[in-house]
Amino acid sequence: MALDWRNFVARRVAMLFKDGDVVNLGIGLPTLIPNHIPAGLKVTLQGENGVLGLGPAPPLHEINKDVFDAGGAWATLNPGGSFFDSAVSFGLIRGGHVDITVLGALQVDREGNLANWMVPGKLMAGYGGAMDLITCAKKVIVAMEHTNKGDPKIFNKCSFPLTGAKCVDIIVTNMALIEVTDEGLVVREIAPDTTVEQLKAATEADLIIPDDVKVMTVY
Amino acid sequence: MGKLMSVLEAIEPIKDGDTILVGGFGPMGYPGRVMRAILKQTELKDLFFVANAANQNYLVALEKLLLTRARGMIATFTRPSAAAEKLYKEGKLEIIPQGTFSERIRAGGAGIPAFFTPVGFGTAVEEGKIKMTIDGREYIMEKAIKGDVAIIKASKVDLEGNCFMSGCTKNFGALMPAAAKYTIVEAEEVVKPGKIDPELVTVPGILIDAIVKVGA
Repeated sequence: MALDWRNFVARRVAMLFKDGDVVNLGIGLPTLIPNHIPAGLKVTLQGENGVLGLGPAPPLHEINKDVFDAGGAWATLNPGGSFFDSAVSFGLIRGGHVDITVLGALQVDREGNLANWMVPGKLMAGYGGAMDLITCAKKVIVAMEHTNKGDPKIFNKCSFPLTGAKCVDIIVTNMALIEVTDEGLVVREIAPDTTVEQLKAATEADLIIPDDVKVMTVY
Repeated sequence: MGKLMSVLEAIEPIKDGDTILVGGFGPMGYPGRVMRAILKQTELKDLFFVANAANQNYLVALEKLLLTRARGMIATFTRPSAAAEKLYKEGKLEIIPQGTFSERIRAGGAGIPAFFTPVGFGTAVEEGKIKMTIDGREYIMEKAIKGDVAIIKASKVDLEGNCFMSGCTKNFGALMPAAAKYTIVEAEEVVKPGKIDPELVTVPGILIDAIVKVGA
Protein backbone atom coordinates (compact mmCIF):
# COMPACT_ATOMS: atom_id res chain seq x y z
CA MET A 1 0.00 0.00 0.00
CA ALA A 2 1.36 3.39 -0.95
CA LEU A 3 2.01 5.79 1.89
CA ASP A 4 0.70 9.34 1.85
CA TRP A 5 3.50 11.90 1.78
CA ARG A 6 3.40 12.55 5.52
CA ASN A 7 3.85 8.90 6.40
CA PHE A 8 6.47 8.54 3.65
CA VAL A 9 8.53 11.31 5.30
CA ALA A 10 7.86 9.91 8.78
CA ARG A 11 9.05 6.45 7.74
CA ARG A 12 12.19 7.77 6.05
CA VAL A 13 13.05 9.69 9.22
CA ALA A 14 12.43 6.62 11.39
CA MET A 15 14.93 4.73 9.20
CA LEU A 16 17.62 7.19 10.37
CA PHE A 17 17.27 6.06 14.00
CA LYS A 18 19.78 3.68 15.53
CA ASP A 19 19.32 1.15 18.28
CA GLY A 20 19.53 2.90 21.65
CA ASP A 21 18.77 6.41 20.41
CA VAL A 22 16.99 8.87 22.68
CA VAL A 23 14.69 10.91 20.41
CA ASN A 24 12.53 13.98 20.92
CA LEU A 25 9.70 14.47 18.42
CA GLY A 26 8.09 17.85 17.75
CA ILE A 27 4.41 18.48 17.10
CA GLY A 28 2.74 17.89 13.74
CA LEU A 29 4.28 15.48 11.22
CA PRO A 30 6.92 14.12 13.66
CA THR A 31 4.14 12.66 15.83
CA LEU A 32 3.57 10.08 13.02
CA ILE A 33 7.11 8.75 13.36
CA PRO A 34 6.56 6.29 16.25
CA ASN A 35 4.27 4.23 13.99
CA HIS A 36 7.22 3.67 11.64
CA ILE A 37 9.99 2.72 14.06
CA PRO A 38 10.95 -0.88 13.16
CA ALA A 39 10.05 -3.54 15.71
CA GLY A 40 13.13 -4.63 17.61
CA LEU A 41 14.84 -1.23 17.37
CA LYS A 42 15.07 0.27 20.87
CA VAL A 43 14.30 3.98 20.59
CA THR A 44 13.46 5.92 23.75
CA LEU A 45 11.14 8.87 23.18
CA GLN A 46 11.60 11.94 25.36
CA GLY A 47 8.98 14.61 25.98
CA GLU A 48 10.43 17.90 27.16
CA ASN A 49 7.43 18.23 29.46
CA GLY A 50 9.20 15.77 31.77
CA VAL A 51 9.08 12.22 30.49
CA LEU A 52 11.33 9.52 29.02
CA GLY A 53 9.90 6.34 27.52
CA LEU A 54 6.72 7.69 25.91
CA GLY A 55 4.53 4.95 24.49
CA PRO A 56 1.55 5.03 22.12
CA ALA A 57 -1.62 7.03 22.76
CA PRO A 58 -3.95 5.22 25.18
CA PRO A 59 -7.49 4.05 24.40
CA LEU A 60 -10.01 6.59 25.74
CA HIS A 61 -11.01 4.50 28.77
CA GLU A 62 -7.38 4.14 29.87
CA ILE A 63 -6.31 7.80 29.86
CA ASN A 64 -4.12 8.84 32.77
CA LYS A 65 -4.56 12.63 32.90
CA ASP A 66 -1.03 13.07 34.26
CA VAL A 67 0.67 11.39 31.28
CA PHE A 68 0.89 13.43 28.09
CA ASP A 69 3.39 14.45 25.44
CA ALA A 70 4.86 17.88 24.75
CA GLY A 71 2.07 18.60 22.29
CA GLY A 72 -0.43 18.08 25.11
CA ALA A 73 -1.76 14.79 23.66
CA TRP A 74 -2.54 11.89 26.02
CA ALA A 75 0.24 9.34 26.07
CA THR A 76 1.38 6.20 27.85
CA LEU A 77 4.63 5.31 29.55
CA ASN A 78 6.55 2.24 28.40
CA PRO A 79 8.01 -0.09 31.05
CA GLY A 80 11.30 1.47 32.15
CA GLY A 81 10.09 5.01 31.53
CA SER A 82 10.40 7.86 33.99
CA PHE A 83 8.98 11.26 34.96
CA PHE A 84 10.85 14.38 36.09
CA ASP A 85 10.48 18.15 36.32
CA SER A 86 11.28 20.61 33.52
CA ALA A 87 14.71 21.59 34.88
CA VAL A 88 15.82 17.94 34.76
CA SER A 89 14.15 17.52 31.38
CA PHE A 90 16.00 20.43 29.83
CA GLY A 91 19.16 19.40 31.67
CA LEU A 92 18.92 16.17 29.68
CA ILE A 93 18.49 18.18 26.50
CA ARG A 94 21.10 20.89 27.17
CA GLY A 95 23.51 18.32 28.54
CA GLY A 96 23.58 16.48 25.21
CA HIS A 97 21.75 13.36 26.39
CA VAL A 98 19.16 13.52 23.61
CA ASP A 99 20.55 11.97 20.42
CA ILE A 100 18.04 13.19 17.84
CA THR A 101 15.34 15.83 17.65
CA VAL A 102 12.87 15.90 14.77
CA LEU A 103 10.77 18.99 14.15
CA GLY A 104 9.01 21.02 11.51
CA ALA A 105 10.12 24.36 10.11
CA LEU A 106 8.75 27.47 8.46
CA GLN A 107 12.14 28.13 6.84
CA VAL A 108 15.50 26.35 6.70
CA ASP A 109 18.61 27.63 4.95
CA ARG A 110 21.84 26.34 3.46
CA GLU A 111 23.80 27.10 6.63
CA GLY A 112 21.41 24.97 8.67
CA ASN A 113 19.65 27.96 10.23
CA LEU A 114 16.07 27.20 11.23
CA ALA A 115 13.06 29.48 11.71
CA ASN A 116 9.82 28.12 13.15
CA TRP A 117 8.59 30.43 15.90
CA MET A 118 7.11 33.45 14.16
CA VAL A 119 6.02 34.96 10.86
CA PRO A 120 6.77 38.69 11.12
CA GLY A 121 3.59 40.72 11.25
CA LYS A 122 1.39 37.64 11.15
CA LEU A 123 1.99 34.96 13.70
CA MET A 124 3.87 34.81 16.99
CA ALA A 125 3.89 31.39 18.60
CA GLY A 126 6.98 31.36 20.79
CA TYR A 127 9.94 29.01 21.05
CA GLY A 128 8.54 26.42 23.43
CA GLY A 129 11.31 23.85 23.83
CA ALA A 130 12.43 23.94 20.20
CA MET A 131 15.35 26.33 20.67
CA ASP A 132 16.92 24.22 23.42
CA LEU A 133 16.39 21.03 21.41
CA ILE A 134 17.91 22.22 18.14
CA THR A 135 20.86 23.87 19.87
CA CYS A 136 21.75 20.90 22.04
CA ALA A 137 20.51 17.62 20.55
CA LYS A 138 23.32 15.69 18.87
CA LYS A 139 21.43 15.47 15.56
CA VAL A 140 18.69 17.81 14.30
CA ILE A 141 16.34 16.52 11.60
CA VAL A 142 13.77 18.78 9.95
CA ALA A 143 10.76 16.83 8.67
CA MET A 144 8.33 18.86 6.58
CA GLU A 145 6.50 19.36 3.31
CA HIS A 146 9.04 20.67 0.80
CA THR A 147 7.01 23.80 0.02
CA ASN A 148 4.28 25.85 1.64
CA LYS A 149 1.51 25.58 -0.97
CA GLY A 150 4.14 25.80 -3.70
CA ASP A 151 6.24 28.52 -2.06
CA PRO A 152 9.78 27.43 -1.16
CA LYS A 153 10.72 26.81 2.47
CA ILE A 154 14.41 26.01 1.88
CA PHE A 155 16.42 29.18 1.25
CA ASN A 156 19.96 30.43 0.85
CA LYS A 157 19.21 32.61 3.86
CA CYS A 158 16.22 32.55 6.23
CA SER A 159 14.27 35.83 6.33
CA PHE A 160 12.17 35.01 9.42
CA PRO A 161 13.67 35.41 12.90
CA LEU A 162 15.75 32.33 13.73
CA THR A 163 14.92 29.66 16.26
CA GLY A 164 18.44 28.28 15.94
CA ALA A 165 21.64 29.18 14.13
CA LYS A 166 23.60 26.58 12.14
CA CYS A 167 21.86 23.71 13.87
CA VAL A 168 20.09 21.56 11.24
CA ASP A 169 21.84 18.37 10.08
CA ILE A 170 19.31 16.71 7.79
CA ILE A 171 16.15 17.88 5.98
CA VAL A 172 13.63 15.21 4.98
CA THR A 173 10.70 16.28 2.78
CA ASN A 174 8.22 14.71 0.39
CA MET A 175 10.68 15.55 -2.43
CA ALA A 176 14.16 14.84 -1.07
CA LEU A 177 16.55 13.99 1.72
CA ILE A 178 19.08 16.78 2.03
CA GLU A 179 22.19 16.92 4.19
CA VAL A 180 23.47 20.25 5.50
CA THR A 181 27.26 20.34 5.03
CA ASP A 182 30.02 22.96 5.25
CA GLU A 183 29.89 23.11 1.43
CA GLY A 184 26.11 23.68 1.35
CA LEU A 185 22.97 21.62 0.90
CA VAL A 186 23.77 18.21 -0.54
CA VAL A 187 20.86 16.23 -1.98
CA ARG A 188 21.40 12.60 -0.95
CA GLU A 189 18.06 11.20 -2.12
CA ILE A 190 15.25 12.31 -4.42
CA ALA A 191 11.70 10.99 -4.04
CA PRO A 192 10.62 8.51 -6.75
CA ASP A 193 7.94 10.81 -8.17
CA THR A 194 10.19 13.92 -8.23
CA THR A 195 12.55 15.11 -10.96
CA VAL A 196 15.72 17.15 -10.40
CA GLU A 197 14.05 20.05 -12.22
CA GLN A 198 10.98 19.92 -9.97
CA LEU A 199 13.20 19.78 -6.89
CA LYS A 200 15.23 22.80 -7.99
CA ALA A 201 12.07 24.74 -8.86
CA ALA A 202 10.62 24.06 -5.41
CA THR A 203 13.80 25.12 -3.60
CA GLU A 204 15.11 28.68 -3.34
CA ALA A 205 18.49 27.56 -2.01
CA ASP A 206 21.33 26.40 -4.25
CA LEU A 207 21.50 22.62 -4.15
CA ILE A 208 24.49 20.35 -4.63
CA ILE A 209 23.31 17.22 -6.46
CA PRO A 210 26.06 14.59 -6.56
CA ASP A 211 26.28 12.04 -9.36
CA ASP A 212 25.50 9.24 -6.93
CA VAL A 213 22.22 10.76 -5.66
CA LYS A 214 19.85 7.94 -4.71
CA VAL A 215 16.14 7.40 -5.09
CA MET A 216 14.43 7.97 -1.73
CA THR A 217 12.92 4.65 -0.74
CA VAL A 218 11.30 3.35 2.41
CA TYR A 219 10.84 -0.20 3.59
CA MET B 1 -1.97 28.97 62.08
CA GLY B 2 -1.84 25.93 59.86
CA LYS B 3 -1.10 26.09 56.16
CA LEU B 4 -4.51 24.77 55.07
CA MET B 5 -6.80 27.75 54.40
CA SER B 6 -9.53 29.13 52.19
CA VAL B 7 -8.60 30.41 48.77
CA LEU B 8 -9.36 33.99 49.90
CA GLU B 9 -7.05 33.67 52.89
CA ALA B 10 -4.39 32.17 50.66
CA ILE B 11 -4.39 35.01 48.12
CA GLU B 12 -4.75 37.80 50.72
CA PRO B 13 -0.97 38.52 50.94
CA ILE B 14 -0.67 39.17 47.17
CA LYS B 15 -0.12 42.87 46.39
CA ASP B 16 -0.46 45.14 43.37
CA GLY B 17 2.68 44.97 41.25
CA ASP B 18 3.72 41.51 42.45
CA THR B 19 5.60 39.07 40.22
CA ILE B 20 3.63 35.81 40.17
CA LEU B 21 5.05 32.49 38.98
CA VAL B 22 2.29 30.20 37.70
CA GLY B 23 2.84 26.44 37.34
CA GLY B 24 1.58 24.21 34.55
CA PHE B 25 2.36 22.87 31.10
CA GLY B 26 -0.82 23.87 29.31
CA PRO B 27 -3.69 22.90 31.61
CA MET B 28 -1.67 20.13 33.28
CA GLY B 29 -0.40 21.36 36.63
CA TYR B 30 -2.08 24.77 36.16
CA PRO B 31 -3.65 26.04 39.41
CA GLY B 32 -6.97 27.08 37.92
CA ARG B 33 -8.94 27.53 41.17
CA VAL B 34 -6.51 30.02 42.73
CA MET B 35 -6.10 31.89 39.44
CA ARG B 36 -9.88 32.24 39.13
CA ALA B 37 -10.04 33.64 42.66
CA ILE B 38 -7.42 36.28 41.82
CA LEU B 39 -9.43 37.23 38.74
CA LYS B 40 -12.90 37.27 40.30
CA GLN B 41 -12.38 38.04 43.96
CA THR B 42 -9.59 40.64 43.93
CA GLU B 43 -8.84 43.85 42.10
CA LEU B 44 -5.10 43.20 42.04
CA LYS B 45 -3.36 45.05 39.21
CA ASP B 46 0.03 45.72 37.61
CA LEU B 47 0.85 42.05 38.03
CA PHE B 48 3.84 40.49 36.28
CA PHE B 49 3.34 36.86 35.31
CA VAL B 50 5.98 34.19 34.78
CA ALA B 51 4.27 31.19 33.16
CA ASN B 52 5.31 28.72 30.49
CA ALA B 53 2.36 29.54 28.28
CA ALA B 54 -0.57 31.82 27.66
CA ASN B 55 -3.58 30.14 26.07
CA GLN B 56 -7.00 31.70 25.72
CA ASN B 57 -8.71 28.30 25.50
CA TYR B 58 -7.12 26.42 28.39
CA LEU B 59 -5.75 29.07 30.76
CA VAL B 60 -8.75 31.35 30.90
CA ALA B 61 -8.23 33.23 34.18
CA LEU B 62 -4.59 33.87 33.31
CA GLU B 63 -5.67 35.13 29.87
CA LYS B 64 -8.14 37.60 31.39
CA LEU B 65 -5.62 38.82 33.96
CA LEU B 66 -3.03 39.29 31.19
CA LEU B 67 -5.52 41.29 29.16
CA THR B 68 -6.36 43.93 31.74
CA ARG B 69 -4.34 43.63 34.92
CA ALA B 70 -0.80 42.71 33.90
CA ARG B 71 2.26 44.90 33.42
CA GLY B 72 4.14 42.14 31.65
CA MET B 73 4.92 38.48 31.20
CA ILE B 74 7.76 36.03 30.65
CA ALA B 75 6.67 32.92 28.72
CA THR B 76 7.92 30.37 26.18
CA PHE B 77 4.85 29.66 24.04
CA THR B 78 1.78 31.87 23.67
CA ARG B 79 -0.51 30.56 20.97
CA PRO B 80 -3.37 31.10 20.81
CA SER B 81 -3.60 34.11 23.13
CA ALA B 82 -5.01 37.51 22.23
CA ALA B 83 -3.66 38.85 25.53
CA ALA B 84 -0.13 37.70 24.75
CA GLU B 85 -0.32 39.23 21.26
CA LYS B 86 -1.36 42.53 22.83
CA LEU B 87 1.45 42.43 25.40
CA TYR B 88 3.94 41.47 22.66
CA LYS B 89 2.95 44.49 20.54
CA GLU B 90 3.35 46.71 23.60
CA GLY B 91 6.83 45.32 24.25
CA LYS B 92 5.70 43.77 27.55
CA LEU B 93 6.07 40.09 26.67
CA GLU B 94 9.46 38.41 26.90
CA ILE B 95 9.52 35.13 24.95
CA ILE B 96 12.37 32.87 26.03
CA PRO B 97 13.40 29.26 25.33
CA GLN B 98 11.73 26.73 27.61
CA GLY B 99 14.94 25.24 28.95
CA THR B 100 16.21 28.71 29.77
CA PHE B 101 12.85 29.45 31.40
CA SER B 102 13.13 26.33 33.59
CA GLU B 103 16.74 26.91 34.53
CA ARG B 104 16.25 30.62 35.31
CA ILE B 105 13.53 29.65 37.80
CA ARG B 106 15.56 26.76 39.21
CA ALA B 107 18.54 29.09 39.62
CA GLY B 108 16.33 31.70 41.29
CA GLY B 109 15.38 29.19 43.94
CA ALA B 110 18.85 27.70 44.31
CA GLY B 111 20.89 30.82 45.02
CA ILE B 112 22.48 30.96 41.57
CA PRO B 113 22.25 34.55 40.25
CA ALA B 114 23.05 33.71 36.61
CA PHE B 115 24.39 30.98 34.36
CA PHE B 116 25.73 30.48 30.84
CA THR B 117 23.83 28.55 28.16
CA PRO B 118 24.46 28.00 24.44
CA VAL B 119 20.71 28.21 23.75
CA GLY B 120 19.73 31.36 21.87
CA PHE B 121 23.21 32.22 20.64
CA GLY B 122 22.92 33.68 17.12
CA THR B 123 19.21 34.50 17.58
CA ALA B 124 17.21 37.42 18.97
CA VAL B 125 17.50 35.82 22.42
CA GLU B 126 21.15 36.92 22.69
CA GLU B 127 20.37 40.63 22.32
CA GLY B 128 21.65 42.73 25.20
CA LYS B 129 23.17 39.77 27.03
CA ILE B 130 26.74 39.11 28.16
CA LYS B 131 28.46 36.57 25.90
CA MET B 132 31.40 34.35 26.70
CA THR B 133 33.40 31.68 24.92
CA ILE B 134 34.12 28.77 27.26
CA ASP B 135 36.30 25.89 26.06
CA GLY B 136 35.69 26.94 22.46
CA ARG B 137 31.87 27.12 22.58
CA GLU B 138 29.88 30.36 22.64
CA TYR B 139 27.43 31.02 25.45
CA ILE B 140 25.10 33.75 26.63
CA MET B 141 24.49 34.71 30.25
CA GLU B 142 20.98 34.30 31.59
CA LYS B 143 19.87 35.70 34.94
CA ALA B 144 17.83 33.89 37.57
CA ILE B 145 14.11 34.59 37.92
CA LYS B 146 12.62 35.24 41.35
CA GLY B 147 9.02 35.99 42.21
CA ASP B 148 7.00 37.45 45.02
CA VAL B 149 4.44 34.68 44.74
CA ALA B 150 4.33 31.16 43.27
CA ILE B 151 1.00 29.47 42.56
CA ILE B 152 1.19 25.77 41.79
CA LYS B 153 -0.89 22.60 41.68
CA ALA B 154 -0.02 19.26 43.29
CA SER B 155 -1.64 15.86 43.00
CA LYS B 156 -1.43 15.44 46.76
CA VAL B 157 -0.18 17.64 49.61
CA ASP B 158 0.21 16.98 53.34
CA LEU B 159 -0.50 19.55 56.06
CA GLU B 160 3.23 20.33 56.32
CA GLY B 161 3.10 21.34 52.65
CA ASN B 162 4.98 18.36 51.24
CA CYS B 163 3.80 17.98 47.65
CA PHE B 164 3.56 14.95 45.41
CA MET B 165 3.15 15.80 41.73
CA SER B 166 2.19 12.87 39.55
CA GLY B 167 3.56 12.05 36.09
CA CYS B 168 4.17 14.99 33.79
CA THR B 169 2.47 17.52 36.09
CA LYS B 170 5.73 18.32 37.91
CA ASN B 171 6.91 20.52 35.04
CA PHE B 172 7.50 24.08 36.30
CA GLY B 173 5.45 23.89 39.51
CA ALA B 174 8.16 21.76 41.09
CA LEU B 175 10.70 24.55 40.52
CA MET B 176 8.70 27.65 41.37
CA PRO B 177 8.20 27.44 45.16
CA ALA B 178 11.90 27.86 45.93
CA ALA B 179 12.08 30.91 43.64
CA ALA B 180 9.21 32.79 45.34
CA LYS B 181 8.82 34.46 48.74
CA TYR B 182 5.30 33.09 49.19
CA THR B 183 3.84 29.93 47.66
CA ILE B 184 0.25 28.75 47.36
CA VAL B 185 -0.40 25.14 46.37
CA GLU B 186 -3.80 23.85 45.32
CA ALA B 187 -4.56 20.14 45.45
CA GLU B 188 -7.56 17.85 45.27
CA GLU B 189 -6.12 15.62 47.95
CA VAL B 190 -4.89 17.01 51.29
CA VAL B 191 -3.57 14.45 53.79
CA LYS B 192 -2.01 14.29 57.26
CA PRO B 193 1.78 14.51 57.58
CA GLY B 194 3.30 11.09 57.05
CA LYS B 195 0.65 10.04 54.54
CA ILE B 196 2.89 10.89 51.59
CA ASP B 197 5.88 8.56 51.29
CA PRO B 198 8.87 10.85 52.05
CA GLU B 199 10.69 9.19 49.13
CA LEU B 200 8.00 10.51 46.78
CA VAL B 201 7.94 14.16 47.87
CA THR B 202 8.34 16.39 44.80
CA VAL B 203 8.49 19.70 46.72
CA PRO B 204 9.60 19.87 50.39
CA GLY B 205 6.95 21.35 52.67
CA ILE B 206 9.11 24.19 54.03
CA LEU B 207 8.70 25.91 50.65
CA ILE B 208 4.90 25.97 50.88
CA ASP B 209 3.02 28.71 52.75
CA ALA B 210 -0.62 28.12 51.89
CA ILE B 211 -2.59 25.01 50.96
CA VAL B 212 -5.94 25.26 49.19
CA LYS B 213 -8.08 22.15 48.84
CA VAL B 214 -10.01 22.13 45.59
CA GLY B 215 -12.79 19.96 44.17
CA ALA B 216 -12.04 17.21 41.71
